Amino acid sequence: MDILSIINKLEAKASPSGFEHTAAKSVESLIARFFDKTEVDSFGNVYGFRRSGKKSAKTILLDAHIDEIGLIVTGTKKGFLTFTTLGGVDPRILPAREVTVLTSPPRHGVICTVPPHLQAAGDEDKACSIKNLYIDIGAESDETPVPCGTPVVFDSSLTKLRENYISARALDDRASLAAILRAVELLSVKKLNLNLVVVASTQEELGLRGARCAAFGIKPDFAIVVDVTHATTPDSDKSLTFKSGSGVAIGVGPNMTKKMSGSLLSVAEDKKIPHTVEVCSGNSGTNAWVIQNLRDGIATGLLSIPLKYMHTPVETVKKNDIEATAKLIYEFVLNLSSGGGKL
Amino acid sequence: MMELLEKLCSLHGVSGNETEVSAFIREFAKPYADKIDEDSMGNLIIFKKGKKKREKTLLLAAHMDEVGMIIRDITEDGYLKFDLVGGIDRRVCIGKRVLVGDKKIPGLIGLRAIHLTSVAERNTTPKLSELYIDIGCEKKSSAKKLVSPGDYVSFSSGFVRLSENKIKARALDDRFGCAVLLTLLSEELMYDTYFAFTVQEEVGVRGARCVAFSVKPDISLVVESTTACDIPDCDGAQEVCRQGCGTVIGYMDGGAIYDKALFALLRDIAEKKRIKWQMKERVAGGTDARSIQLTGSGARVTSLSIPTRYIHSPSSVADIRDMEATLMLAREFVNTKEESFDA
Repeated sequence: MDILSIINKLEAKASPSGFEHTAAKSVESLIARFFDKTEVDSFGNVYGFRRSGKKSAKTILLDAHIDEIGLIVTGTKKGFLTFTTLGGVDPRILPAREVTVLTSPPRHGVICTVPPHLQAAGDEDKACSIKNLYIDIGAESDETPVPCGTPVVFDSSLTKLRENYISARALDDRASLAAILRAVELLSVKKLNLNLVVVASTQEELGLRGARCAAFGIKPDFAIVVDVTHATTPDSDKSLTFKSGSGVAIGVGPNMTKKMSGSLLSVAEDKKIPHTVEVCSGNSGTNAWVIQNLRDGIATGLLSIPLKYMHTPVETVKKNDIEATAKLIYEFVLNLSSGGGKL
Repeated sequence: MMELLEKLCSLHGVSGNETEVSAFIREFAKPYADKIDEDSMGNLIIFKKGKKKREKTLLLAAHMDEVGMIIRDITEDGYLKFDLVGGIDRRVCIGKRVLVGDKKIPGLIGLRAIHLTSVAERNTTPKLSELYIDIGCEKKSSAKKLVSPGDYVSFSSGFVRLSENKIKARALDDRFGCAVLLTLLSEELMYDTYFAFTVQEEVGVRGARCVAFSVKPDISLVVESTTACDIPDCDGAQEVCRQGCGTVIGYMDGGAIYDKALFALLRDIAEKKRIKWQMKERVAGGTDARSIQLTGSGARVTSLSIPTRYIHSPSSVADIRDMEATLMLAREFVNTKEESFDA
C-alpha cells in the first residue's frame, strides 16, 4: 500500500487529542492487514502485534501518535460556539478558518472575523485573541446548542503540491504512522527474530500521555518513536530547521539512548538512506521523553520527518522524507533481528 | 437560483482577471438576451427586451470580480511573494489554501510553526512582505515553469450548506448579485432592461464607470453582498445588518447617497408584498452605485444587498432567506409600473 493511500485513509478520520476513540476502530481495521493481531486499549491507543514465535525473542515498539491538535467547544453565545484549544494551536491560523464540529452527524463551521470595512487602522497588525473568536455553524440563537466539550478539528483535505510534496492537516503525526506501516509492510516478507509491536498512541499533543501507558503495558526492550521535526521555510532560521528532502532526521542527545542512535546512524550510512542528525539537548518534545525512563528503562531512539508549517492545517511534507524514514525503520529492525536483538 | 449561485461561486475571477466568470455568464445569458456587449475592460452589458419599451433607461448591476491576490515575485527557493487585490485583512490569509494562475496550481500560504515563535510574535500578524505561497517548488527555475509574476491567486474554498438557512462559499460578494441578475434575465420582463456584470469593483468600483458611460442609465439598481457583523461581541448598530432579517435596502454607502424616492419605492413594495427588509445601521464600504451615479450627467441609484458574514475572506456566510427576499424585491422593482420611478 503506498504512503499516500495510507495517509489518505488516516486523514479521513478525525482524532483530536483526548477524543481518539471514535477513530480508534477505523485505525485498527486499517492497520489490521499488516499484523497478526490488533487491539485498542482503554486509552484509545491502537496496537498491532507481530509475534516472532520465539519464546526468548526481544520486543521492539514502534510508536507514532494518532492524535491531532484541534479545538473544543466551551459554550454558546447567540448560536455561535465559544471554544478553547486542544494542544498547541497558534491563534493566528484561526480567523476565517473552516472547521468540522464533531457532533453526530458532524457540522461544518467557520471561525468568525470582523470584516476589513469595520476595522480601525492598525487592527490588522494585532493577532486575534481566542476569547474574541467564535465558530459559526449557521445555527439560530434559539436552536438546541452544541454540547460543551464537543471536539472540533480543522478542515483541510489532502492536497498534492509539486515535487512530491503533500499538504494536509495532522501530518503531525500521520506521516510518521504511514512511514511505520510502510516499514511493517516491507518487513512482512522477512522472517523476524523479534516481536514487533506498533502503537498509534493517543494524547501526545496534550503531554505525551497515551504512549506512557502503552509502553508500560508492552514492556518493550527497544522503542523507536517516529514524529515530525521542523522543515525550513522562508520565515524560519535555517540553522534550526531541516531542509525538506534531506531525509529522515535521527535524534541524538540524552533522550535518545546512545546505542540506539548510534545504530540508527550506522544503518542509515550503510544502506545510503538520506538522513540528517537532529541534536536535542534535553526533552525531545516527543513520546521518546516518557518512554525512555519507563519501568527499568527502555532503549529508545527517535526518528523525525521534516515538516513545514507544523500545527497548522496546511502541514507540508516531502514524500521522499517519509519513504526514507520507512526505509530506515525497515533496515534497522532487520539489522536488530539478525543480531538476535543485540545492539 | 442556488444551483446557479453554486456554479458562479466555483468560478475564479479576481479583479482584473474576470474572464472565467464573464465567459460563463455570457453562455448562460445567450438564450435570453437580445444584445450582449463586452467592453475593453471586460464588463458585460446585456440588453433584454421586455413586453414594453421604457421611457427611462433602467440598469441592474452586479460585479463579477472577487478579492484575491496577485504574484509579485518568485524567491530563489521557489516560494511566491504576493500582493493583495482588493481589501483583505491579511489575518484571513494565514494558513489558507489557494489556487495560482489560470492553470490553478494548488498552493498554500504558510506560517512558521508555533514552536518556533515567541509570545510576542504570536500576538502580531506577519507583514504582507513576510507572507509567501508554497506550491511545492524548491527552486526559482522550477517555479517559473508553472507560474509568473502577475498571475492571479484566489482562495480555495467550496460551497457548503451549513444549516437549513445558511450557505458558506467563496466570492458570495458578488456572485450572489450575478445570480440574481441572471435569474431575472432568464424571466419574462415587463420592460426593456439593461443588465451589467461589471469588473474591478473591488479595486475602486472601476468597471461600472465605463458601463454607465455606455448605457447612460437614468435609474440603476445595484445588487450586492454587504457586510454583516451579527456575531457575538457585536451588538446593536455594530452588527450593521442581520442575517434572516431580509434584504438590505440601501440608502447610502461610503461613496454615494442613494436616491430617496427609489428607497421609498423599494420600501413600499417590500411592505406591500410582505418581503422582509432591513437597513444597515452603519455605513461602511462602497459599491458600483458610486460610479454609476457620477458618470456622465448622473443617474439615480439604489441597492439591494444580502447581509454577508466574513466578507472578503475565503469563507463568507449568507442566509438563503435573505437571498430569496432580495430576488423577490428586485423582481418586483424591475417589473413595477414605470411611473412608480418618478421622483
